[in-house]
Amino acid sequence: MIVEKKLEGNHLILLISGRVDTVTSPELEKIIQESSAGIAHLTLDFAKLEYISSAGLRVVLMAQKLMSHQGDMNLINVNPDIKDIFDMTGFSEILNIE
Amino acid sequence: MFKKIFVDHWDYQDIKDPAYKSEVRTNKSICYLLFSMALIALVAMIFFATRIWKTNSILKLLSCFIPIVAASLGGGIYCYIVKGRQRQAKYILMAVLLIVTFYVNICFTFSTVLFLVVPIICSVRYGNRRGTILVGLITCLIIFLSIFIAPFSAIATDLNVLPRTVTATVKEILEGAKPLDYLSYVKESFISTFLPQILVFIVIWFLCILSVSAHKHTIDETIKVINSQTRIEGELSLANEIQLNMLPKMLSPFPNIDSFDLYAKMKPAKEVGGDLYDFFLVDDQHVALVIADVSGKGVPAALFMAITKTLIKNQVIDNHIDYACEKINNILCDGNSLGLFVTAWIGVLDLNTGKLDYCNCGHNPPILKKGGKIDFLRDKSGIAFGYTDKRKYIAKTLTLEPGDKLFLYTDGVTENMSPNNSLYGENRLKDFLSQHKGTSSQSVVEDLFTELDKFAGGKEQFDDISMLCFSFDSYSYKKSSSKEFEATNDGFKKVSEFVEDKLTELNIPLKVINQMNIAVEEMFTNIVKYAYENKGGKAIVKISFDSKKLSVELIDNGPEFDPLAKEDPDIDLGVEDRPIGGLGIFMVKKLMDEVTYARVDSTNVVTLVKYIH
Repeated sequence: MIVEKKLEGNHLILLISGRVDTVTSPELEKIIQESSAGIAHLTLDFAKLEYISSAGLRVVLMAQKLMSHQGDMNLINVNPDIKDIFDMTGFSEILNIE
Repeated sequence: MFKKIFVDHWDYQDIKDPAYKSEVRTNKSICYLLFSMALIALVAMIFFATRIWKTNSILKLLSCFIPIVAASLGGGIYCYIVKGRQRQAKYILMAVLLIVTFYVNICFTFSTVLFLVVPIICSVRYGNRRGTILVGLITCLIIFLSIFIAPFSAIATDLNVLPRTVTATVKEILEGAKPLDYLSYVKESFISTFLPQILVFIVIWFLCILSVSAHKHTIDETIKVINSQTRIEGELSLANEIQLNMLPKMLSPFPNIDSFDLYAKMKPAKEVGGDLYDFFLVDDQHVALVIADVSGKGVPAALFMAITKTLIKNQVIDNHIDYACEKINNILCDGNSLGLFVTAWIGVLDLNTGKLDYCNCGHNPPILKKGGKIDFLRDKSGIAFGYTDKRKYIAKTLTLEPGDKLFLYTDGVTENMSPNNSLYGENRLKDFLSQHKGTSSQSVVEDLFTELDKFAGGKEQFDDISMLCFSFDSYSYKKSSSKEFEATNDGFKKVSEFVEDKLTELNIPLKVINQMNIAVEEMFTNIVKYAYENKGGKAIVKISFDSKKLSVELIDNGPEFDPLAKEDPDIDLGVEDRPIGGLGIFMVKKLMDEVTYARVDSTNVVTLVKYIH
């Protein structure tokens, strides 16, 4: 998993590529927690995301909870397979997927 | 009846040695000659009996005719009985001819002078120079002896019996008025009869000796031709055997694979043909099916076919099918001075998924029976091999499912001709295959051969006929693989690699690989957390793929724990109310078609199942 950070004022964009699984999700969780201070808009770009497991979903849900206190969060470029997982788990309802 | 007595009786077609065959045929001719001589002798008797020809002595007449008829009939009957096949028959026949000549000559010294050449002319056909010389010598001896014997044995009406120079008139001598001066008769006969006769005879004799050499030469040439023909035929039949041996054997070609039933057969029209079928394993998961037809027939086609077969196999094993076709074509075009070409259909089937890649290079469209429907596969990938090089071929793809059948054939099937010159054709072939009730590929092929024979109605097979019937019975069974892992959080990385590698090898669709990976991750994490409570331990991951069913088992040695017993989370809750976590098992249940838990011999076994469509 590689995470590229792009900051535009108080808008943080995270381009996540590779896999978010049990092994890598703690790292993503750490990155989001450390870089979300003072951020009003968080965008997770999933264009290069290959795989996400429930551990990854946990982090996404955590981020969503975090951001709903200080602004908003959206997900972009979600590929159909991952969208399926969001649909299946009901995440599509609570996340802002574009 | 006539044919049976005069022709079939002799039947010497079984004799291979041309010299002996010629000898037997000559014996047969002389046998008939002897019979006709006996008949002519009887006719001559009638002339005497009716006194058209006169004789003064019945005794002389009988003593001449009885030996002639007896010898002729005896020799003829002997020869007929042994069918002219005894080695000594020719000596007996020549002896009979000489005896008859002797009697004819002493009885009708002048009227039958032409008869003297009969034995020597007959001897020519035996092709034996020494024999002909000997027969000539004996004839000369007969002419000479007859000078001395004739005065006592000649039939009276033979007016030439005495040389004209003998002083007494014929009439006087015949009537006994004047006695024959024997010594002066012999002297006169020698000078005016024997010498001119013998000189003329020597000319004919010489001619016969020349002929016998020529005849002998012809026989020798024939023997040479026949020998070389036999050699060529022998080599052709060897070539045929080699060619048939090149085609794969039908007796359980792949004893370890039961996911398909395959049968192929080739029936060449001439000794060596240009048809070719082949099937082989590209690797332990792919089988290649090939049918091809080389233009032309005979040895050139067979040689080209041998090259093509080897090329196809080598190229298809090494390359993807369309590139393989391109290379095969380039190599076949190179140095193809005779302008031969090959039409071919080559397919490679993935036994695990049923995916069939194929190239039709100018060949007859195969027939596909898929889900009860039957139709021709008319896609074309490129032109036949051998016309022009540097051509591209485009592989086509379709997916076979268990129960589907593929039938490959060469144009010998569709162009099989009935006695009234109508072709068997594609429609009849399609009808036959759709109505065929047999289950095995072998029965399809054998029954169609019988059907074609019936259709041809005894007409000679015009072209090679080849067929290959392939029935896809089930996806290939792959042995399950399993591996033991350290049950730690970091250990999952290795598990994930193992699962992905194995599933990729099995050609499982990417989406299913991802879903299975997620499920395995959840269950593995579960083991790490709950079975071993993060203290570490062993976990075994076992993957098996059986037909359409992909299953992955996760086995641990922890205390009994059923992860599936946990209640599903409420996925309709809002963000704030949703607990973080608890989703894993729920996702597994959603992603998999079946999830089961079992406690086996103090291990926890979770089985994840996904069906591949």
